[in-house]
Amino acid sequence: MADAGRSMKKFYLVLGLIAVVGIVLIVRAAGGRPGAPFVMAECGGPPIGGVGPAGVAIGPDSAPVRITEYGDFECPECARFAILTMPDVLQRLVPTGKLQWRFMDFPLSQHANSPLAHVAAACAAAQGRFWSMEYSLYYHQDDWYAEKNPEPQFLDYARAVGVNVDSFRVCVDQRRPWPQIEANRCSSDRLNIQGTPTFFVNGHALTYVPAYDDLVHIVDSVTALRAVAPPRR
Amino acid sequence: MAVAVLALVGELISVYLLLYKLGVLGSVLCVGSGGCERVQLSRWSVLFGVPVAAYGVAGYAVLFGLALFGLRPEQVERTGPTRWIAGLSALGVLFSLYLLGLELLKIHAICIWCSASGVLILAILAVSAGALLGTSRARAR
Repeated sequence: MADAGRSMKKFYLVLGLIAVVGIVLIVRAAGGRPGAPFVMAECGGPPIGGVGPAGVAIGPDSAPVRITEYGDFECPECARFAILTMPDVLQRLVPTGKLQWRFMDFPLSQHANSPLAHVAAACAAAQGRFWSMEYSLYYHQDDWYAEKNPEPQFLDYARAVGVNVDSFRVCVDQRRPWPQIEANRCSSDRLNIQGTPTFFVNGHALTYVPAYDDLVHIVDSVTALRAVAPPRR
Repeated sequence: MAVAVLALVGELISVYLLLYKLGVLGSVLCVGSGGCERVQLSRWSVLFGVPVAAYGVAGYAVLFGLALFGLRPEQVERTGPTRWIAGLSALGVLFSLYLLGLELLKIHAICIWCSASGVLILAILAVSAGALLGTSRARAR
């Protein structure tokens, strides 16, 4: 009986040890990376900074197909899409005039460097270089996502895509586009977005990450439907 | 005893993934190129509005509690807690298989922590089923 009691004590000791080691590891993981120096506001209130959602769009407003992408610059799946599919979208699909593509910021709170990356992209957008900056940020994601301060890398990418670095630096340092980014993020409030990237085709959510061929099919199908549908009165 | 240890480790893994999902952790440690993040940030990481990791936290907590309850002196000869553990862990194995299917077929990425959790719940099922089998054989003699 006494042996059983001793062995139970040892067992509880081992359990306690496992619990303590696990908790210490989790706490260390939580404190191992500095938090984002950006405040993500609760959505649902009045427009942040008086700014409404806009995103960055390419393609005509009259396009029969409008696709909105909610993306996060630190999300690996978004990077894969941006690198593999987006160049074809921009070079082959948008010029047809059938498609308008809109990128909406959706920085996830888990990603410490994502807010700054979104600011960098928006600052490049202010100089008309959003899409090349977007590609650079995603292409080099592995190089900056774990950095304590990725701003020097972002400056390099901005320089490489032809952005005026002096005004870009001021824009980034002052976090000028942050209210717009927050407005874009909060525009998803009623869309029940559970992950990134998430796409909406003329307001309808896609349940998968499309390949280029899927997008061609979507654009052709919707355009053909529009062509045969009777005009609304 | 083994079930309690396995359930505790599973609980810690689930808490880790849940904290990541809730944004408390900046990043998640992973083997390979971002498979864990891809899985955790996918739309399938939330079920009925609740993060999948939260189901793990709740499930392992129940299994851990049952395992400790089954170790009480008055329960040692009874098979009730072990039966509950076997039943719940069988559900857990099915749920893990469903999640593995999503990872392979929908998300196209593997989360090593989710796989570890799947192995743990399978081990819990094996241990509890083995204990039930041993008990029934002993009683048959």
